[in-house]
Amino acid sequence: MIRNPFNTKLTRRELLTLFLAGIFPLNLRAFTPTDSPEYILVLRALLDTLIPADDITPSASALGIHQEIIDGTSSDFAYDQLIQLGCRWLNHQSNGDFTNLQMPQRIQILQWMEQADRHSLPALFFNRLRYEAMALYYSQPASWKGLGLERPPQPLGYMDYQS
Amino acid sequence: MVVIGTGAGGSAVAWTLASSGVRVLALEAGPAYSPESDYLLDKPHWEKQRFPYKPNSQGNYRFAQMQKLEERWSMLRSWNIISGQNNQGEYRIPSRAGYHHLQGVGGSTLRFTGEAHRLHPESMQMQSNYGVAADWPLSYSDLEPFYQEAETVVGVAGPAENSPRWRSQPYPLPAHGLSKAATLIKKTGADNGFTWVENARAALSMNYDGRPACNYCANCNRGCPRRDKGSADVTFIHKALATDNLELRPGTRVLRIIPGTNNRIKSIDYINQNGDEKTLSCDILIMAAGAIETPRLLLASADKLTPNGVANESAQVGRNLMETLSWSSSGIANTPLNSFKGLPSDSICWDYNHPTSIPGTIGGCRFSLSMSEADLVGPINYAQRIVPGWGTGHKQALRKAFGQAVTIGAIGEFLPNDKTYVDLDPEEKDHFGIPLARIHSFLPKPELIRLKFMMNSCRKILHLAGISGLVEEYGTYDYFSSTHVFGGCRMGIDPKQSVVNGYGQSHTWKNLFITDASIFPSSGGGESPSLTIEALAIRTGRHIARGLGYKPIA
Ligand SMILES: Cc1cc2nc3c(=O)[nH]c(=O)nc-3n(C[C@H](O)[C@H](O)[C@H](O)COP(=O)(O)OP(=O)(O)OC[C@H]3O[C@@H](n4cnc5c(N)ncnc54)[C@H](O)[C@@H]3O)c2cc1C
Ligand code: SF4
Repeated sequence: MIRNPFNTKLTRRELLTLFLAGIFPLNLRAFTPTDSPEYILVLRALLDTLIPADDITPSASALGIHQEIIDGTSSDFAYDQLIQLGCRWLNHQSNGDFTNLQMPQRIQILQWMEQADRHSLPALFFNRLRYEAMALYYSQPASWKGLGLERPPQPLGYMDYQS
Repeated sequence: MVVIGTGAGGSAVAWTLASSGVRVLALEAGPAYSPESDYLLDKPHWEKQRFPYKPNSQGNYRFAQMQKLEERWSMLRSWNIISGQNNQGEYRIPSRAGYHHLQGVGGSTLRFTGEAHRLHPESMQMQSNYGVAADWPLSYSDLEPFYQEAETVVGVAGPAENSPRWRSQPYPLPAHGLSKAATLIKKTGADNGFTWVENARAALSMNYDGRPACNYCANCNRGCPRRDKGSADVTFIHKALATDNLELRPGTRVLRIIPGTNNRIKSIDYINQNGDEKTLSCDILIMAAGAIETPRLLLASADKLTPNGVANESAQVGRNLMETLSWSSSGIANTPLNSFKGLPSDSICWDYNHPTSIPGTIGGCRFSLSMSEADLVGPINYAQRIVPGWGTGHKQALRKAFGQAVTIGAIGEFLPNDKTYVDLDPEEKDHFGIPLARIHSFLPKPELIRLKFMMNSCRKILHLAGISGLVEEYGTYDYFSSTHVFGGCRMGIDPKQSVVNGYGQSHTWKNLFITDASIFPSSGGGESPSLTIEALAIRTGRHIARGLGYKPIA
């Protein structure tokens, strides 16, 4: 049986909640495109807090995950808006610029987002970004070091599956 | 001879006829897949997609409102260590995949795991023996030679001992060696009520019939690029094409069936690859569009001669639908197992498969190792779903956990009930103006008792294996999530209670046959259905060929 328990797309209800709460802009033209530096830098900082480098594997941004996420927004309006709003929210919580915060402060904000009501903007943004970032990061072989996974399943398979 | 659909049932009947010398035209709504180039298992991003869906590889259907979830069954709700309770609502809902299926040459077998089971003989006489569901109009003995034939074409690898599913000959191939996780689970042991044996698998344990042996990549549900998994495209279709008697037309959707006089189907309307609507007359029409689409097509073909739909004289088309009753519990072992390696579902426990083996309800179930079905065979799903947190701690935890996930899956009998059926959606239509199928699903108390037993047993097996920390449980109480769907055009002796006879032939329309999962009168106690669908289809094919004066070509 196949399934994925996470609903990572915004549901109609969630979109409506965001609209009603005035979080979604009515005048979309007032917005800066998601691929502008304003958002890219915040997104990078956020992703490197979620997936930082350690002594074995690189950080999310070192593998270009921020750019892949931005590329993914071009065909998904709700996702695009979620990222813009989320980044603005992060800046708002950081006295104007999330990227100016030290790692411990960033971590504190993310911990708060993780615990927030699952239908609120911070939680929706956090959960979606965590989900997408993990998928993009762990689809790059550079992230597999230390896992015991050296290559994709094929063409060699795992003839050592019994050991 | 026209066959609609090339999944398990359509491909097997097409091969049987083509190899008997009959000219067959197979119309398939979905695209053809090329295992080597379409499947992604050799790519770094192999895990991101569950299956490489091509345009038109998914059908369109709807669900009717499902039942309200009750407090007294709340223990059966699905949950996950990171996201909490999955379905937060008050009602049962379809999962994202809902009716798991694939449109394409090979049908849903392109995505299947490849368990190759024979039904428990007792599961075929549920009405006579236990007063539930309906009897099959044929016995296990009638079907046994065709099981053998299907296993030979597919190349099934299985264990020597398999009573009560008696065999006239051994499996064509020896069973696969057990993975480390299977060896661990096997230790839970018969003494504790769980006897584990090698699963019968449509995956080659040795080179066979021009196809290479499995290399244990653990990802059958993403499509097997080696062609060793016995999906219908690389077995029945491949062999049927080799006879030169099969003309295969992918990307060709049948829209309606046109009844004629003398209780014979006259023709079908279909959309060809260029999008043009065409009509084709048929001497014999064999429907194998799957348990949702076959009833839909019959119902949507209502006209003056057949106001309730074709073959629906007794209002049985769409009724008696059966879905997958399933549960899985996943935990993380505290020893390295490399559980992302090996053949999916390599071991199975049949101890509770007999219809009377679960206390308080009729209908059995089985247990198997299910990391692949739960999609816990790569780092993405571990990171997203079962290793909580983020930051450097998450990386370390992932490295520790990776390869240690163990999932026990259970599939149980689903008895037909009045509230589970397919009809036509009153509003929604496809591009061609044909009403969509609408699935009605209801789980009555006997199913929920069975599901609870399955849940408790999955947990017990993990516990006995020393795995205490559960990370995810998923069941079909709060989600409709069906990989095995049967019924809708039940076969039987009585035309008032069934749509087709034991050869899949319509009781009314003499040149209309059905050879897909829709004809099952009962679901079995968790057995995977493809091999039975194929065996039935071969039997029907032989019957038709014999009727036409053809003999199998040696
Ligand atoms: C993820 C997954 C795992 C599974 N694992 C197993 C397993 O391990 N073992 C097992 O035995 N079974 C398994 N199954 C179930 C198995 O694949 C199905 O039961 C089986 O394929 C059903 O056969 P069928 O012939 O009834 O229908 P299908 O195989 O679904 O074939 C129906 C075909 O008809 C075509 N069609 C539909 N409508 C039209 C139309 N109007 N015109 C033309 N063509 C049409 C479809 O495109 C499709 O190709 C699994 C299924 C899934 C999805
Ligand atoms: S495990 Fe074997 S059968 Fe399954 S996809 Fe891999 S190679 Fe093919």
